[in-house]
Amino acid sequence: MENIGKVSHWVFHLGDTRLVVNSTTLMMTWVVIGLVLAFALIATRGRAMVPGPWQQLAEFLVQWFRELVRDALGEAYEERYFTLICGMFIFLLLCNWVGVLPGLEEPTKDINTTLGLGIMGFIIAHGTAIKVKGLKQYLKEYFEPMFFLMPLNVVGEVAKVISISFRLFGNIIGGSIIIVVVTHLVYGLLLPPFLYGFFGLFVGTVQAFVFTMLTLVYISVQIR
Amino acid sequence: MEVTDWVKVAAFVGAGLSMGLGAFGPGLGEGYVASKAAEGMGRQPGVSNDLLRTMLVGQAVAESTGIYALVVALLLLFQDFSAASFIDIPAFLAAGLCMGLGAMGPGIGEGIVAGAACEAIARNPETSPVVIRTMLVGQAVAESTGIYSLVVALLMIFVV
Amino acid sequence: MAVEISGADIVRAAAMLGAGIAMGIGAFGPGLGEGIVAGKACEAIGRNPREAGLLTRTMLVGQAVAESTGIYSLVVALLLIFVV
Repeated sequence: MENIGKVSHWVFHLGDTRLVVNSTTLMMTWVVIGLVLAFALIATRGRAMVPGPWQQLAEFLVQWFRELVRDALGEAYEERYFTLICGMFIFLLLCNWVGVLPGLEEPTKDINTTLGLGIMGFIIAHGTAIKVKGLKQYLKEYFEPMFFLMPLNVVGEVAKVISISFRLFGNIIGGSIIIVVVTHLVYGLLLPPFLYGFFGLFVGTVQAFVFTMLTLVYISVQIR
Repeated sequence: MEVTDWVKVAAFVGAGLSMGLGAFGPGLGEGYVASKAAEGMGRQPGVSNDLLRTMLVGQAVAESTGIYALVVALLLLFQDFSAASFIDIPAFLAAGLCMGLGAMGPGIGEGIVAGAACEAIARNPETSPVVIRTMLVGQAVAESTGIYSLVVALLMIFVV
Repeated sequence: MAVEISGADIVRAAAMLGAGIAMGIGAFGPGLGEGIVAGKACEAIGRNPREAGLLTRTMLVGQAVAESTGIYSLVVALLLIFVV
């Protein structure tokens, strides 16, 4: 109960600057990266016309996301953004699922992970907008429909980053807190496996999908 | 009465507020989902499997703010009261109020989303993949203010 | 043990209560409103699935605007907790 909300730190001193690294998050992120790489290796090794189960899973994911990206962005941008969207989904899915295994924790339980991904999506969406529309048109859209609405438009854009990252963080940490509290109450007999199933697998899948879809939609809003 | 007693009073009232208000919204919303699903099944019994699945997924997502209210209520109930100080009194009360009201609105809203999704699937069953996708995204966005409430409540319990 | 409660403590207590009320009620409205938006979008997609992309984009833009008041509540609550 006492370690809820505690984050383990590594502190480095570089001259006057103090560098704080969230050690658990960092290590768990590397674990997830290892899992993604392992999945990629297993799924692509020994490819065949009649696919094995891993290849089938990978093909299903790739095809599904290719269609989603084509629906949202159109043929012209499909190739460029499909890898980002599909990779983001697989990474987030494994991030949210990895907490189910004993001894591991979700990297998405740390606000820094989700905020980093949210800011990355923000930069990609706005970079695309400037590239597609040109800087002048991009800036002009902040003053539409009326010039004095500019502050509202800016707040709206910043709110997207905050809401997308807080949503993922809040869902995952809410699940992990309730698991800790209930385990504390019933000594881990019956309820926790069910709770891990609901919060880790179901909520984790939904939230990974929602995060990916919203990043995709934010890009598509910018280029249309 | 000592400060610790007052902190306990505040924490228990806060837990009650959190769970009471936080149960109301999701309960109402989930009931709305079920009513729409029942309506759709009455009109189109052939798609009842689709409708049942959509209803259960929609309700499970609509319930999440209610679960956050439960999280906050449990945390308030099983606090370590020995280190409590004066400022914990308003903080615990406010945490309960914040999470309770913050669970109520998103709970009703997400219920409306899932209810409308059930209606749409009953009318046009082939669209169910697109409708379920839109439903999940829409519910997640409607939930974000509930998440802000959770974050503020946790800050009040742990940080202040 | 008698505890001295000074004026500053009362101010801080009021700030806490204010933060809770701000975020609580401020989450209620946007949550309800955004739910109605998404519900109507689902209904419209059920009626006209070909416009699903357009409807999803409109829904998210509308929800983002509806959510801005929720973000103001969050900002005010955080200010009340940490700054005041």
